[in-house]
Amino acid sequence: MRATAPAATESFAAPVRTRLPVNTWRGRAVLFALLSLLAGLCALLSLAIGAQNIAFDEVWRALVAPESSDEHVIVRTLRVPRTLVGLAVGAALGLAGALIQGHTRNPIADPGLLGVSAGAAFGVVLSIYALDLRLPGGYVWFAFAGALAASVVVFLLGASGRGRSTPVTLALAGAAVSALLGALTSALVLLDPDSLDGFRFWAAGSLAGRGNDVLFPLLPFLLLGTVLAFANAPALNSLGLGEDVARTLGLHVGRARVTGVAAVTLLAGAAVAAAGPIGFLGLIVPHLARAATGPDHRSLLPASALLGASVLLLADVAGRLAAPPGELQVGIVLAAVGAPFFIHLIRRRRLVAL
Amino acid sequence: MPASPLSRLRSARLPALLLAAAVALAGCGPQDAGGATDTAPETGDSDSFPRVVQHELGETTIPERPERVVAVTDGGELASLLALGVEPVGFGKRNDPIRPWIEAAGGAEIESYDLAGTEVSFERIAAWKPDLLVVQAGFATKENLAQYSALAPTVVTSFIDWKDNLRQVSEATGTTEKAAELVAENEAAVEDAAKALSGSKGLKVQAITVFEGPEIYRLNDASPLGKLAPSLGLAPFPKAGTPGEAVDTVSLEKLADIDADVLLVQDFGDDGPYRALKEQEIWKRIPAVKTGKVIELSVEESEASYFDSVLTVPLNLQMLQDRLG
Repeated sequence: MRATAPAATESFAAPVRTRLPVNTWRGRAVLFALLSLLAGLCALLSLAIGAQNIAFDEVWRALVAPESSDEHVIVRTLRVPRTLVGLAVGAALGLAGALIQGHTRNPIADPGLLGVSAGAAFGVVLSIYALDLRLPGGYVWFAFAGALAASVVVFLLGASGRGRSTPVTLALAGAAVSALLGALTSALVLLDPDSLDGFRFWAAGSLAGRGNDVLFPLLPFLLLGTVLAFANAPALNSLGLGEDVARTLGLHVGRARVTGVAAVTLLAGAAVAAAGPIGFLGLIVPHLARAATGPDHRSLLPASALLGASVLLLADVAGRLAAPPGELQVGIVLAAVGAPFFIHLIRRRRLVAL
Repeated sequence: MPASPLSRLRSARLPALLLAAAVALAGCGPQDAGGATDTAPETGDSDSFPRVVQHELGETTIPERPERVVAVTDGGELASLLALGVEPVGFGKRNDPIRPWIEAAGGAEIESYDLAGTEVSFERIAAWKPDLLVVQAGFATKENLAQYSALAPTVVTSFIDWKDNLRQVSEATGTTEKAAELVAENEAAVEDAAKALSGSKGLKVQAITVFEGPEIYRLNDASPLGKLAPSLGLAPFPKAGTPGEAVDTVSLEKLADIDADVLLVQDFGDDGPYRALKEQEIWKRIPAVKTGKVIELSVEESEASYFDSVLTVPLNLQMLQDRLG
């Protein structure tokens, strides 16, 4: 009895204990200064560490006074674009994860729930199979279009039932559409295994070889998604009390849901188009962020973005050092590290009830 | 009743005779009937049956000189069979169109089924009524070897070394004399090539493949070219990172460290990733690129230089002479 009583109160009153006084603006300022510092540090690590050993002062010189030495070429043309893609993709996946967990009130929801990853994968396979495209730059729009299309179908299916679209119908529609697209993708891959080497690489998720040519066209969508996400934060806080309470508080539930789904689609769709399907990040990062900020989405969303960028870059750096003289793709690193970490998270503290 | 040595001998011989009769009946196509009667008396001591063949997954007893050999895979084992003059009754075709050296050795006239991207079809293999299966290591594993052996005695062949592959296939088919001839021919060809390349002593040659992704693939000292390099007087290829693998991955960041006088670039019919890499600044930092010593191999040359078999050794020697001489 004594063991269960405090736990019950905890989940009722405060789902997560927060160590920092984030309810004051001063506390929030300290927290975000720390998180920004962490993201900056990870970006520096990503610039400084790689398969090739380059002294830190040389890395610095490559950034501020570039010459045409081998080291400077590596930093400028390989590490800088890769770091930028990592920052953008990590932040987008962190945000999308926090949004989808908030909307579905499901602690194990991840951005792929809306069929985004499956849609992007199908778009890529279709482009290789039908159009014989072979370059990562060429996949981007097909991946993005696939992600958007899948998400729209999921939303329409989820909303087409007798009742309104609820998180549960969304999740069910997402699972169904993902399964269908996954089957179609496998069918195409099996039909033509030789020409799909490119897909196999894409499907593992990687930051390497994806540079500014991939990032810049997607940037407007990432920015729009971020704006929609932050605009959605107060509504998410109300929705956390339940739809009925939110409605009595004057929230337009349908509009809030559409905004959230649109933001997740844009963010996760652009991320998967840029770097391939990277798992676990959107699942784990919101849990880490929540431990620091508590359930208030106005803090949780930006914290998830900063932590997402940090974790993705750290995992990428680890992958660069894991298999010399080659590299391990970041999607594989996250899958290998993410699963045990997630289990640890669940075992250490009861999974938060959202 | 305990069997006497004599009766044990007799009982061992009887099933063998029955089996031989069954084989003769089963294989009553025109070319098989001739083969069965011609080869039996010629069997010398060194190639007598039953015999035990050591292979990649242990040892297998072959009771009779095989008449209906199936090459489960079309790797080095199919090349070995054709070079040894043993025509298989069928093979699993993973390469469509079939490799040029297989076609030149008569592989196009042999029955096959499509094995690209699918599982081995034990039904197809059984329909050929084989009395010997040769299968590349990897397709046969410790776990599924019993499935092959249930159809016929199975010899698992080396993927990485053509001499091992040839030894395994020749011992299983009773053609070790022919195998020795083939090895001698290839060794003579190596010596000739070494003479022709005597001007390139110590030349550092490396070969890479560019696929999609953050890395390139570099042939190591276990690759077909890497194994030829020392006997040709060329500098040794990089040591294999993983035993049994002919290629290792190299990060793009490490490209400028590729220490080669001549860089061979393989092309497997999709040069998109290579063209994209050539645009990158890091590519231009490779010493061999700076000196203009990059040689882009044709698809045919690339296939042969990636594929270790008794039939591709002469092709690879010819390629190196053409390209480096």
